[in-house]
Amino acid sequence: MTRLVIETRGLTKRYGGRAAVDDVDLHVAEGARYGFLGPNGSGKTTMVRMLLGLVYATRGEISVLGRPVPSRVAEVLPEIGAMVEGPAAYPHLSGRANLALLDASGPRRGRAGRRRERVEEVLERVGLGAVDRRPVRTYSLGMRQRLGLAGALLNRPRLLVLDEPTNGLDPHGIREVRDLLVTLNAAGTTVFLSSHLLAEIEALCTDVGVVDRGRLVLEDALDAVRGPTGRLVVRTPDPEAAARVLGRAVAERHGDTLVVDAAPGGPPALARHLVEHGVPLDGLAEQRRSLEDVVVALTGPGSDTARGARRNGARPDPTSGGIRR
Amino acid sequence: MTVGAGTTGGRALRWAVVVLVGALLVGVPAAIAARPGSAQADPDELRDRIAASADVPWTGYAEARAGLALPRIPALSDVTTLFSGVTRLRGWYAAPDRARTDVLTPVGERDRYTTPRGQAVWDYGAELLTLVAADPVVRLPRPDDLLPPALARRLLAGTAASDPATALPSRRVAGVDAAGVRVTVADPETTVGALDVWADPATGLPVAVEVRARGVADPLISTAFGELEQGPPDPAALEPRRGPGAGVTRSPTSDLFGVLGRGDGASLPDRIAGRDREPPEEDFPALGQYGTTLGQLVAVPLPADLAATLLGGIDRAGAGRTLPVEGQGAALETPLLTLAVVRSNDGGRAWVLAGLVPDAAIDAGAADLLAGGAA
Amino acid sequence: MIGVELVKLARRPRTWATIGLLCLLPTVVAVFLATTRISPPPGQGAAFLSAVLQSGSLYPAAALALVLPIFLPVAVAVVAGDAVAGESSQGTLRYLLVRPVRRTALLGAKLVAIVVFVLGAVLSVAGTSYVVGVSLFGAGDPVAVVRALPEVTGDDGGVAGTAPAGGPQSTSGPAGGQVGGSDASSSGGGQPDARDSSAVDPEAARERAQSSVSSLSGEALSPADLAARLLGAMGYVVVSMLGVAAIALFLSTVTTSSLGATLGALAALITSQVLVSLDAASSVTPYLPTRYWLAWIDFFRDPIFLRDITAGLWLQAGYVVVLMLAAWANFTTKDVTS
Repeated sequence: MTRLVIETRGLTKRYGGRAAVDDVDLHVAEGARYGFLGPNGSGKTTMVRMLLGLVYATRGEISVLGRPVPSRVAEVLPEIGAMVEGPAAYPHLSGRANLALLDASGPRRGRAGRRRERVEEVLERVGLGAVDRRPVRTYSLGMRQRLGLAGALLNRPRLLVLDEPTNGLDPHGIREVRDLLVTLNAAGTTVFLSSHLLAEIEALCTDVGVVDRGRLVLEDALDAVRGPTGRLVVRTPDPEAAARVLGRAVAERHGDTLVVDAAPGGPPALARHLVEHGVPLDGLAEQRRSLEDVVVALTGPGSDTARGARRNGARPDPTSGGIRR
Repeated sequence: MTVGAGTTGGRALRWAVVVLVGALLVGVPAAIAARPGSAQADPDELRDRIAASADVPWTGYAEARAGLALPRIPALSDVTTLFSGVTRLRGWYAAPDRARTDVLTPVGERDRYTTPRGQAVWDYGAELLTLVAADPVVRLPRPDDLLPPALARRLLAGTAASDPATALPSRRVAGVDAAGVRVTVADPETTVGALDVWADPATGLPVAVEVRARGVADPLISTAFGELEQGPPDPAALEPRRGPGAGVTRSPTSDLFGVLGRGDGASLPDRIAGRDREPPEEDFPALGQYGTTLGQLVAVPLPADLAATLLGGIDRAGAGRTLPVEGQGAALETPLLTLAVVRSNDGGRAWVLAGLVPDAAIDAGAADLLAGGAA
Repeated sequence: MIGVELVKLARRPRTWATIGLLCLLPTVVAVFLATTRISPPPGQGAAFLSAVLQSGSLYPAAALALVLPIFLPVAVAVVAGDAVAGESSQGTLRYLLVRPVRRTALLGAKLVAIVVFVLGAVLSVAGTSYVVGVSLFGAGDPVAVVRALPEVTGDDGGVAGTAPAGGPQSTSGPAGGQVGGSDASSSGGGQPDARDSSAVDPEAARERAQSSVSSLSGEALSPADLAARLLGAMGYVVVSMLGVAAIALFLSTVTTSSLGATLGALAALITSQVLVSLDAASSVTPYLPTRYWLAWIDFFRDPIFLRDITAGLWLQAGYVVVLMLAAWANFTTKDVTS
């Protein structure tokens, strides 16, 4: 088993009587691209802040890069690059000046000589290499986002903790950031990324944790989550014939698509069976769960809806979809 | 970041440190200041030693607090402000004729130098050094009278030997463990009820004085050193200085009574309100001093214009009491000091009448002045 | 971290605007004084304002008196109130803390930056007002002036000469003038007495005297002496502002609103100012942050009066210690949620 970069046990944060994060056991393996998925207001940001020692837990333990947080957070933070809840910068200074200040604020001394190189390097990486001396207040949201990412990369982190990193970026920018993260990950950086966008996590991550109203309802490898359901999907120009041939094996029918309970022999057997009975086939595949299906099944409506504050019984049986460790 | 940060325990602990340090910073100086003294002295002996302390030299700073709440009257504003608020004084005292007192204000100061040849008054605001030939013994109160040694000696001199002296708990004043004595004034002809004086038992130098009026619980005047060093002051500090560019003027006297007292004293009767007039001072024939105790009255003839100014001032201040006399009379009254202006009906004769005396004495004095001058 | 805070301070346009405004007030006052030559009546208005017409080299002191009661504390409260709350509301605080910057170190660096700001502001005010004062009012050689004037206590022209028969020679003002009330004593004898200056050319003496400096006690001040006293007063004013800075900095860790922290600190100051002048509150006045603010003027007395200055230094130190501890207790255990 690979080493865990982030591990929490029973992590709870209460604001007043409300639990923003409730008894969360998180496990992020070294080298993973971990997607922390949840609707807005589900406690993602509080979780991220606790990992970084910005917010103190009410209860529970946190270990980041093998050291306890917050008691020894100062030792781990130099190896972490973080972006929390959107980028921030001094608006009257240029992006370069902001990064230089951020770099100078860090604990390591004797690096001042290479500061300019470091700043140029990270600007280049996030696609801001050509940026001029304009103050940050004139930057677009996308540029600020890139600048925030540049700040997170300044100290060549072993672990990147990114909260909604593609917010405000155009599709081209999103692709660039995704490629950058994959490159960094390939070079050994663990990426912990929180998002409310399923597609983003599906496109980027190797592991996923789903949080709903402060509770972690699913944590698994993305491939495992999207595993086969044991059913087959049949597309045919003649669904009537197919339904007739398959009889009670048809579980669902949507237009020319049938979902069929798996029979012994798998897809080849089924294909043969249908063809033998003269049913033409457009396609036949194993049915896989989409992440969306899993998440919708696991979580109730977003907690920013009016009903969200109250548990409405939508909490799923853990055995039905996800696999809890 | 230390272990425990973020837990409620860590937070409470840190705030406890804050509260503890804050309490120490407030409490320790207060406790040191409130430390009770241990000095002991026989009250009668202490009283004698205080009276004989005029040759004890010192350098120091004193704050006098007076609660007479006199309204501000033009031409008497120095006196009225003196008795209504805090006066900050720095003093250098070598001998009765070698001393300096600075009255400190937020924007300047007025320094009075006493030298064997006379006095000099430096007024920073006016950029003026006034050389004063002589002031009468009987004069209006001025700030240096509020220095504890001066106030104690002056007022004790007005008490009778038969007035009882009792011991007060000792006090620490400006680093001096001072013994206290209370002299209760028996004379019903004065408003002064008691004098509380704390003095260094070794030298007799008074370091704090509280003046109580009859029937008033809190002291009306209290003065104490905030800083005191006994011993001869730096002689350089006693030399009058005149700032470059400042003016110099000469004046025979620096006191309103002194100015008025140089006039004609014919209108002063020999006896008012049951008090006989003392022989007039040389150079100040118009200065009427009636009695020598705390219950003494001082009467000085006023020029018509000044009388009108003062009467108008008292009237405008709205705090005066109209005297029940033939003619015009108005008195500024406090539980301690009363200052009255009396004018005959024809406006030809007028006096200022003052003393630490009850109403009746002022009324009688005013009536006697009006009647006596006419006779 | 201190260096970073100083760079932030220096690169912030607001810092320079504030210092510029602080310098502007004394300059405006000086221009009005110089063009009208109407000084406030002695004993009224800000300290030293009536004296600067005689010598501009005293104008830094008058400028301090002008900015001390309101302008300077407001500027300090703005900068200190913004210190943590500004970073917090801007969002940069969380990025500083995950760099990581230790929270205690950040507070310390902020305090140092504020002290540097106050120091810079006071130096700028004193510097500009010296230049403005000397160019508008002129500065003479005080020592030469003193030598040119006869000693007032000298054997020939001193107090002794006026003794009992002084009446006829006296140049005293109107009756009741310098004796009765300070309000009447200024005009009568304001010019130097001609007889005192008879040993030297009176015109020259007066002219030089017009551009010279004395302490509040009338002692002539040499330029070096004046400079030393000015430095002392400036240093004391800087220290006087530390209490405000600490209050605002503490509030800045409590709220995420810079304005709230600034106004809170100013409210504390105004309360303190009101209580200081209230006799009924005399039991707490020694503990009020503004109690000894005016003590800087004691540097200009002779001998220098250190009692209130010392008390003021201890008081400000107490405020800094307690409030910085409170800021530390609050900030190091606080959830940064902005």
